[in-house]
Amino acid sequence: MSLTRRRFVAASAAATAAAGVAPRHSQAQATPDTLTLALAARGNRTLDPANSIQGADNWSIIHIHDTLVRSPDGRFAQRPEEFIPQLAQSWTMSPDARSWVFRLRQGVQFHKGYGECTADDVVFSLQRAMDPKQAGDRSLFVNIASVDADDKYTVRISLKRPDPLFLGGTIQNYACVILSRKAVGERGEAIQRDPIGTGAYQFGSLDPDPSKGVLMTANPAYFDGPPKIRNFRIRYILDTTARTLALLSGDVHMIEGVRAPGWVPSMKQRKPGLQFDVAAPGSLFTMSFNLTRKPLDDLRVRQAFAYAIDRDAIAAATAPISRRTYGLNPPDYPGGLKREAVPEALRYDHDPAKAKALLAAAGFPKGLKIEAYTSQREDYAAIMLIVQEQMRTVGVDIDLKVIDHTTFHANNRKDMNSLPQNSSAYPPVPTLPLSDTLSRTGEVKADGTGGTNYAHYGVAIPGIDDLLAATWAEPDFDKRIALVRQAELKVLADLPLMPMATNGYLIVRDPKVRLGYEVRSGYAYWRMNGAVFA
Amino acid sequence: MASDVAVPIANRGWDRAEQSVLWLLWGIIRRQPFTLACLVVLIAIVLVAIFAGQIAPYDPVAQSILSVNQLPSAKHWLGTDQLGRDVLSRIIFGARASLVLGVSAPVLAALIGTFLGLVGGYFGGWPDRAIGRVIDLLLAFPALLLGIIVAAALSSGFWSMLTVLIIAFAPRFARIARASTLALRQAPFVEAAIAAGLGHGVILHRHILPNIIGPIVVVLTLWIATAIRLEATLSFLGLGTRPPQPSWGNIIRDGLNAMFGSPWPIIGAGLAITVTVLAMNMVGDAVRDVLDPDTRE
Amino acid sequence: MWRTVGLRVLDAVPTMWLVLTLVFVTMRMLPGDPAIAVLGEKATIEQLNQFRERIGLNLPLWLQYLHFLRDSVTLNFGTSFVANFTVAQLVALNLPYTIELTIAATLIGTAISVPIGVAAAVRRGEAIDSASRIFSLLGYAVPDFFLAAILLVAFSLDLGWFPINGGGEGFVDKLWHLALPALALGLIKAAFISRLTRSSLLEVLGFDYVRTARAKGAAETRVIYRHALRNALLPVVTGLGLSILSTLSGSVAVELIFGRPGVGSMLIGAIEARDYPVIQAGVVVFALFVVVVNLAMDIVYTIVDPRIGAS
Repeated sequence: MSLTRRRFVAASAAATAAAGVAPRHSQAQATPDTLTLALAARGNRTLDPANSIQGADNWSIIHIHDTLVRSPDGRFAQRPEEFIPQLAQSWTMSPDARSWVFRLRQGVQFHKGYGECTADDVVFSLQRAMDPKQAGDRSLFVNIASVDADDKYTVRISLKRPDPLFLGGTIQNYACVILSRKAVGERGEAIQRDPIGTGAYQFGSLDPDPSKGVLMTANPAYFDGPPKIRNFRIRYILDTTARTLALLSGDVHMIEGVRAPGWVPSMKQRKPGLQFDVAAPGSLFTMSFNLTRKPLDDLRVRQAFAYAIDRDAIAAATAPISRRTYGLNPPDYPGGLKREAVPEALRYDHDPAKAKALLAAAGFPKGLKIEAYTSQREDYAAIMLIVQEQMRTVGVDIDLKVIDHTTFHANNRKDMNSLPQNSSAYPPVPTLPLSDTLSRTGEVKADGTGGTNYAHYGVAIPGIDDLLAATWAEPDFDKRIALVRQAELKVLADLPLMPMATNGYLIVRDPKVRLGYEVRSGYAYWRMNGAVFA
Repeated sequence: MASDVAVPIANRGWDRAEQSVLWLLWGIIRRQPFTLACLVVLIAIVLVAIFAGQIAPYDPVAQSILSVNQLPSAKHWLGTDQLGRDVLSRIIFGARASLVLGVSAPVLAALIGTFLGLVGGYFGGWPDRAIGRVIDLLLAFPALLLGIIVAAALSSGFWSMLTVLIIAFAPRFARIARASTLALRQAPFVEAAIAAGLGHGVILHRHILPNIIGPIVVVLTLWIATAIRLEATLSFLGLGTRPPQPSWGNIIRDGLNAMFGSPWPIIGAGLAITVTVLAMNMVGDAVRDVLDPDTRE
Repeated sequence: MWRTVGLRVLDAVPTMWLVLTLVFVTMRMLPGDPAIAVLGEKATIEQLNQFRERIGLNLPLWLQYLHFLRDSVTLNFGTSFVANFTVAQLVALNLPYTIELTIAATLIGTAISVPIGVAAAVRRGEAIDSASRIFSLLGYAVPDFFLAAILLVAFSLDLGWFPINGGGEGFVDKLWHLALPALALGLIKAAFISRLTRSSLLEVLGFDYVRTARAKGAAETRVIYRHALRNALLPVVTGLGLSILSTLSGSVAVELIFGRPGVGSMLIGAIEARDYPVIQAGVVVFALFVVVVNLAMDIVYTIVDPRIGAS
């Protein structure tokens, strides 16, 4: 019965599309000269990189603007030699890793007649991005002491502390795209809705109707050659069912995937031939233990959690999107821990019996009860409901309140959660997640003025702050990585948090669209200027 | 909206009111067999809700990641949902959320509303006008809109839903109670009681209250049906019963998100709501026919 | 008569004021810090403070309240916190879809229900009467979102006759997108209205003047349609007004199911995202709608039945 029904539905969906009974939205439909991508967001928030906090908007931003350097298509650059020139033609790093000089490509023009891109525009853009009053993520810029134009095509950036990973951590990030000083000066706040860049696509229009979204048109004068597909439209469809149907019915070419168990297999069944592009690691999902709350201050209780939670099962539930992590940084990152590198005592392989024994030793032979919040967003809820189940089998009853995403984050920031969770994406700069979530200065505060160290690590118990300081002072790439490994192992021993899995960023693509490269790792966006219709 | 209320000539008193309850049940049973069937169905649903733990084949929150979105089979009569939970068990346990809220909220609203209506109708003057204003305001709003705003302010969950439903229903009871009280106020036996110097409390309790119970109960049974639907709608919008606790409304919500796998959660929970509300409405109609024959169709 | 109308209009003012106050209070009660909600969990303290400053959260509460009243009255709701547009643009985008849906559902509901109600009244006690009773019972019992979900799964997903979501563009496309949602809401409304039509027509048919017309020998149909129906329609019109209001609230769930833009889905989304300006605007729009419809009903009543106006 199940087979017949599925075949029927797949057949009718295909027949519907083929018979042309599919919805004929004139502008929004996929026409041969427009590539359409549907992302999971309520709508566009801004097209200004300095104000962008919504990942979906970065897709538009990186097509309209360029950075100085970028990673190879489809992956993160693992070593400094792998970066690819964009607006910068070449660059040098001082031996103490505190000074970077970039020589710019000459003759690159901004869109719509705004003139040549020069060192002055670079200085302007970076200083603007560093401005603490802007809304975006400033943490990438805290290490920059000054940005200066040595001459028309040379930019010098001085750092406060050595950073051999400066390109990977900061410069290639979307926040460092280059804007036109003239355009921002003229347009002011309106730049958020009508941006000017040097990118492969120019801004066309932005519609209040999220299902029409952003329309961009090819830049014929792009320094790397104009894109083959003339128009690129990015639509916003938050509802998972609607987004899925948009792809199945042929209404869009690519969609942001749904991170729910069973979704990927069902898509494969519905429309064989669909391509699944996953950028690992994507977001790092961690669950912290609020060390100021009993009984989580007892290491044995935290270890019990670690043994009771079957992280392989969790990763398997949403494969291929999710993969197991062993330390805070994913295994493929520089400094990330692979399974073999972790000593057995710190691996916490799934062992419910051991968990129960630890709980008994800690004084909870009959189990215990704990309250926690989680978000109703699919990736959070799915993982935490599994965790709740697994903990129940060892006698720990988690009263899990599933609340809306905004309140959830607000509660975390106000130190209201016993088991705060976080899913954040990081570039391959291993100190970033460590300092974000575990440094003493980032400790969360009950009035909301604190940071994102939800565990109170470094304050409630000694943390890795000394190790982090040493790492930041180390100019040599390999020595830095070794220090990071040390910090990771200490975190595993102290268990202020549990790294669970990574949720790769998934885009499901109609085979009609050829990317030109394979997506293996990278940010939650990638470049479509080389894409063609098959 | 409030039906016209006949003014009784004589005080029916509490004894008659108690007799009325038995008379009511007999009146219901005596009607068409269909109504009797509905009563039986209702009792069955209540029993299912109470004994859910014994009846349901699985734990409603037990997940099984390997068997998500399955179609009905011998193992799972209505299949599984997107987290591998047994749909039938969730629907059975969902009866609890619907019934507990569906019954307690209107009852509480009736208590509060009747009290306000009594006070307003009996004493008149500025308390009446003030209460009347607020009531008019709340009545002007469709219950669902009120529900959305209040539920959003109080987050979701049992207490917020209870508050929402009470706020939505109390004004309606208040209006009926007030109309009845106003009519009764003029009745000769009440005037006589006042003239005889009886205290207000005594008059309210012994003379007025037993005579307005009729219309209140009529409306109560019908509003229970509406409360069940409202709870389902709010849960569907994500403002009601919190996951992972099942409620018929949030089962449909999850079912829509997992629409590709199996339509059975939607069908099962939807039918549950429909049957319960239908049965409740039939019984409510019968109650009204018995207590208020003038408005019989 | 105009005096009564004028009084009714004036009456609506304190109601709106109460509504606005209620909105202000509930919005302040929404859990979650709006600054963090809008700027995200990685925002720094300075950014959060700057945002709070900008939207006036640092002002004393009574001053915020006054600003809120002023903004609502001048319909100046500002810019959405979350979307890159002004609230006016968002409302202008969503409102037409909700109005379309409400009108279409009411039309469908009336078109189905009035003939059924008339038939049930005229042929009282026969099969059609029982059928109409069952129809209306089901309409009371079936939740609107359930019916909408079933229609979506059956006709859009499985059979593919109708689009899955969206509002459509161009007249014909919009109609196509409107069909299933309007049908879902309209069927349920039809259940209520058919019953109302039937009972009010029955009542009227028993009146003296109808009997007189019959006695005079006018043809049965003329009697029905000329005398009875016209007078029976008054309560039906009132019922329609109430029905429009409940269609409005019912449209929230249906808009969500069919992925239609509309004030309901705009409001729910804004509540989830703590987008205060949009929440404010959404509630005000709904409140205005409610007040206007109630007012219109009152006025119609006054005009048609002068006895009421005199009270």
